[in-house]
Amino acid sequence: MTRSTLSYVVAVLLLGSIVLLPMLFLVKSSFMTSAVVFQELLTQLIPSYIYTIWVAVCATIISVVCGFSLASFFWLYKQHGVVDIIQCMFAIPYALVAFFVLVFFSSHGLLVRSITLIFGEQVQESMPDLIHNTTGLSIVLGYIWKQIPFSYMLYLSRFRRIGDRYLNAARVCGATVRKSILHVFAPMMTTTTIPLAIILFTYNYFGYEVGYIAGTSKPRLLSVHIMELFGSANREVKQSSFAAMLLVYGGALLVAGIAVILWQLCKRLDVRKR
Amino acid sequence: MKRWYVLIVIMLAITTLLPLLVSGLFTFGKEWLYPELLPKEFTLESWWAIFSPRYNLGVSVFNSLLVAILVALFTTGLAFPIVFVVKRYPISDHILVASFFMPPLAVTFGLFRFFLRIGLTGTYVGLILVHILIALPFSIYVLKGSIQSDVLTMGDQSRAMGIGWINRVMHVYMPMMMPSLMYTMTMVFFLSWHQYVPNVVIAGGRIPTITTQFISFVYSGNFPLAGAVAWVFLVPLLGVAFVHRWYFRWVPWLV
Repeated sequence: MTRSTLSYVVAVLLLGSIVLLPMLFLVKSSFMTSAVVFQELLTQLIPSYIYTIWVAVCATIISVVCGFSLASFFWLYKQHGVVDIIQCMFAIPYALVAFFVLVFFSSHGLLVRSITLIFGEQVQESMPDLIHNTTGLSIVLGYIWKQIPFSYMLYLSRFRRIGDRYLNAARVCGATVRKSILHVFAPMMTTTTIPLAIILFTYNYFGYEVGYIAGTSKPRLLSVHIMELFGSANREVKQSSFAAMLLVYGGALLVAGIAVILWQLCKRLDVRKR
Repeated sequence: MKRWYVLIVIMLAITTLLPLLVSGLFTFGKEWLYPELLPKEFTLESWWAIFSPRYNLGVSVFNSLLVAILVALFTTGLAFPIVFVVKRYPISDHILVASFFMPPLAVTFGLFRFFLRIGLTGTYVGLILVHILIALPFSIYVLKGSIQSDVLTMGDQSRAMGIGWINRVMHVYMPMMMPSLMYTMTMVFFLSWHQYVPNVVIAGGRIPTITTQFISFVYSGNFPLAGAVAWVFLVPLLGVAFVHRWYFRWVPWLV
């Protein structure tokens, strides 16, 4: 075995172990759980599944679209000083974001206080509860506040690598700014969009802090549900949290498989390689 | 269009800075009852409280800093050799993407039983190991994007000239990749500093960190203390970001 083959094997094993090792331990931890408990758990988890997927998909789509729009806007106007502001948001933890959401959008939060000050106290009764509603609005708001800067930075780096030449060519051909973004840059961004969407979706699917602080108690996010099972004093319930994690992770792997196939497909369809 | 630009920049500045200012206001406010838009009195009580022995915030900050710094160093050190192999053999791309689907929650739950059996729960070593596993795919992804083909070419050339691997790493790869390594370390530091679930599950309350303390304040509805901890939370982040910015002026892999 040559040195390069050996190093290759070591790297693959090390990387693979990050995926496989915790998965194997999860399977082993779930061995003690019977099939009936698995079935019960699955029934229990279905509302949380729907709620979590809804929140994750909404937050991912909004973050990707807004990140792309912001990056293309600032790229066209060649003003990158704004990155300084956006980088601040990038460094702020999710726990803090959840706190900000609570401070602003709770029933006694700053938004309601400001509206009450302007329109009077009778308006407060007609205000919808932004934190404890089943649409997951507060969680989505928290996620996009943090993730738009992340997608903006990835898109901006891609714009920088592509450079001006396609934009100039489109302008020479008579394309408007809108058309050159939609028909030239957006298709070229698929190789950034797919991995970005994978990363964001994964985080949103498993994210805990925002859902724990600013989410509803029913339906709960999957991660919040699992942590609640784990925190239980009852040993059997605690044990079932591992089985629940396995079910949730299985769902995520299924999405991962589809996403990787999509990504490979997009790589083949990449306009630059045509 | 200039007007749109100014408007968007102002909106971005407001959405970024307003939450920070408001959390700052919470720390100084006293008796900030509904529907008042501003607190009635301003006081330093929350600041005195968080640094009092009752809450022991200093220990939490020290724990978080220690773990984040060690995780940043070890993770970047581990990712550095892996990334060369990943760069040379593009088949590893699939494994790299798959490793992104191993989020902190799954890694933590997966390793909890094993760590419990070998006695690593509630220890610094266990916590650091979990953080490393969480941060490794991300650090490889970031480093991989920053390696240019000339780094590999220079390495190959120096190897052909008979330079040993230690000298190659010290005098060829390290100087060429220093900005990327520093950037990766910064990002991993942030990632480790932000973690909550591993700190709760693996450390099990025996190693208090700033995240666990912050969330317990928020969940108990103690907003003035939470606001003060939020600022303590941000200080090292802003410090690292400032040093990083001052040193590199720009994020290297964006250039």
